[in-house]
Amino acid sequence: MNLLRINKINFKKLRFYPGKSAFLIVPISTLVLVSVVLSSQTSNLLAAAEQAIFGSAELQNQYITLQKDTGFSAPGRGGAMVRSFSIGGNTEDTNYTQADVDKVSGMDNVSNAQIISQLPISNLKVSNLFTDKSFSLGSLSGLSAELAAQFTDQDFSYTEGDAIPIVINASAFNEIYHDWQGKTEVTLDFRGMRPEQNEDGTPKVPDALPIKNRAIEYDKQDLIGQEFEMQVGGLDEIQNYTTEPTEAGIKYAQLTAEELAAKETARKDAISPYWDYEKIKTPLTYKFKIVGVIEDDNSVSSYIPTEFAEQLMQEYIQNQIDARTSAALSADILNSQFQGMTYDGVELKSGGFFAFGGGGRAVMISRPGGPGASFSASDGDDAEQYSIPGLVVSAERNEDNDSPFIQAEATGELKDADVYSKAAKIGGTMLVKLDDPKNRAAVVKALNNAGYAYQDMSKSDVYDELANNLRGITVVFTIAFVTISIAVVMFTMSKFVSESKKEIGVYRALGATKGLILRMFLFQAVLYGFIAYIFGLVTGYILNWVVSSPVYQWFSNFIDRTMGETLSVINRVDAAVFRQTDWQAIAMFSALLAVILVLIALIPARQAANLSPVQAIKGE
Amino acid sequence: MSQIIEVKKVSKSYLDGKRKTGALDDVSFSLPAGESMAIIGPSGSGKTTLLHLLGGLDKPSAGNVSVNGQELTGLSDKELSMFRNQTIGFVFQFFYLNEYLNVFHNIALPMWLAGKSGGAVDQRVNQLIERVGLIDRATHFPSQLSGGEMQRVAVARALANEPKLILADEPTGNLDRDNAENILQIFDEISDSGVSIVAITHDKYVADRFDHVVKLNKGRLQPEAKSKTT
Repeated sequence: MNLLRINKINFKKLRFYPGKSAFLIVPISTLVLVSVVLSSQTSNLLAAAEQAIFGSAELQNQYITLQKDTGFSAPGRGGAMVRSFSIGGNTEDTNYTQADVDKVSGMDNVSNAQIISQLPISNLKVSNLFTDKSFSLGSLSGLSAELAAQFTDQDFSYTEGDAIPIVINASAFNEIYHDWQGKTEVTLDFRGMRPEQNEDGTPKVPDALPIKNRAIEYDKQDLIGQEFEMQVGGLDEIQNYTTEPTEAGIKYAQLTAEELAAKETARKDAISPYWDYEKIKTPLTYKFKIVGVIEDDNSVSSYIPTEFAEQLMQEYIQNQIDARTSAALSADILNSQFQGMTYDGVELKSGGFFAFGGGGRAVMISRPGGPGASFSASDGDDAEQYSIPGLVVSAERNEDNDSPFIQAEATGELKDADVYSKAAKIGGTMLVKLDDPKNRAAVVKALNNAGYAYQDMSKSDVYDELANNLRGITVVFTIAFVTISIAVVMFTMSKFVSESKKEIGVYRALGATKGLILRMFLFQAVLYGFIAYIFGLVTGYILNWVVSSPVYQWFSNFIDRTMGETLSVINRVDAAVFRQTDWQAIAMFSALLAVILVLIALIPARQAANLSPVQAIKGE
Repeated sequence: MSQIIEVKKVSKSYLDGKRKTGALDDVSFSLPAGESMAIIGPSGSGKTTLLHLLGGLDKPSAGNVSVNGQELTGLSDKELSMFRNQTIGFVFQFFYLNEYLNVFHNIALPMWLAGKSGGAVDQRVNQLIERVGLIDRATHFPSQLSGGEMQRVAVARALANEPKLILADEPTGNLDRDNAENILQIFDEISDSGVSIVAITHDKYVADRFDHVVKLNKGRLQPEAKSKTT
């Protein structure tokens, strides 16, 4: 009897005993189906991960951030200390200058370099981004669209009338709040006070400090695309408490309503002769749209398009100029009563922020600084000094001065709204873009050789972990596949044989050889297995399409979670990647199944063949 | 060759655990070609065992079995299988048709086992179907047939490869009177055509239809009670 006949008979058996056949066909086809989907999706995930992770790394590999270590720290998110860049310092030790930009730009394989230069604006207040919480941007810098591409994949150009794109630094999401605990006065005693630390090493806030800050919770993905308004400039809110050094520490005292009112009046009286008080008091308002969020312990700056930065500065200064009365401002007054930005012919600097230390905890307090301003812990002894938004004061440039706290003497006011454009941009951070990520190693080497210390990091941990997990899953499944299919084939074929004893006996009586009996049962397994295989393959292929969507979703979330922390721009993977089928793996499983089918089915088939016809006939 | 069957001093015993039980004890007989024989005897007397030995389904513990001039005891599995396929036709008490094959295919099966196919098979099967009177049942399955019809299919199947010897184990044991008669008539026709028959039966009436009747008792053959031909 030839093979065709054998299989025709087996096929008739299949149609006659659908239930029994299902015992073999259903588990096998399920195994095949699962193997198709699992192997395809694991290889899809690996491919997508490679694209996303290394693609993103590719993107990031195109950018280098150089930083001068200034030794200054400022509170970042949640009060954790963040290494900040230098603000308004004088010396080259703490800043990159145009000369550095020219030098780096001129290097091979560098396509762009820009210093992150903080805009010399105080008061960047945001109150309508988070419900009932307001915060201030500690630092705003202009950035070219080319360099901004590492932080956002959206359009970073400024169009008049539209919301201004901003890459916002999450370190700004800090609320400052007062907690006087019912008292009007709080005294901190520094004697014997040690900097206490939280578990993670961040300095503990002494509970007694009445001025505290806390992190604002946010969702990065939610923020992107949101618009908000920022108030730029305007007069500071009058500080509603005083600080007085005591022998052992500092005394904080709240002001009464009358005292506050008196201060306000005093301010108005002082300012009104020279400026329209209402106009100078009112901040400029701009509408921004978040196109990226930076969550990086190494920076505090938020970025806006360079062309807008210039416009902003121009409007900021012009606003002050427009508010000026005809009364003259003497150099004396500029050295004592009013502060603003200083321009020494080269740099335009802001009044400055100072770290106020004590008990190991630094608090950012805006302190008017400018010509003649010197670091002083006392406030109230001297005459009040007012910071005027948009005021530019000319000063002599002092190259030798290396203290960021002491500035040059004022020589007069400067009524030039375009002074920012003319000023040199210096700063402690330089962003560099390479023409091709492949050249990264070469550029890093060149930078180090030129004296710009830079160390590279790799981001393949995420990929390695994912790859290992996926490989683990694949191994486990393969073992399960082999084990289950062996068990299924063995069990069902043995059952077939034991239930077919009479039939075997009859076949033998009619003249079937042992070999034929063996072939019949062997090919029964093969035929059924093949049918199960085809069925499993087709349904697996279809199911693979169906699960591609949820897997893609999971993957996107996974990438956002693991990589979104450190990378602002992720190489987006197309959903189509997950519709692919891994034919190679399927071929492997198919071969495995075929081998198992034949080898394992041989055992019961041989038993069937060796059955004595007499026993078989009697057996039923 | 005038004897279709020659059995010489055949014994068959089984090992039942540690006990040796004897089914046949020193049996000897022969059957002339073209004649029919009925084997009668109480249950457990070894009738079925003898039939199996005649059909080469089993081997004797001692002695020789020769069918159609062929000494069976020394044959290989392959040779025995071919012997059964070509020379023997089995008919069982409980029909033993393949329930997943229809009437036509059941009858064709021995021919397929012989490696035949195509027109020759179709012709022969149709011939046999007609001969046993089941023309309008050709595509039916055993589950759709009555006992008598099933046995007729079994007989047709047994005749498929034009055997020399039909071996029937209680061929009418599961049939009513009319159907039994039907089968016996077919057997008569078979016998007339020159095919030898050996049938086991417990029914005296059936046994009388055969040329020879032999009796087995506890594995021993008793002298022939009756013979039509001697």
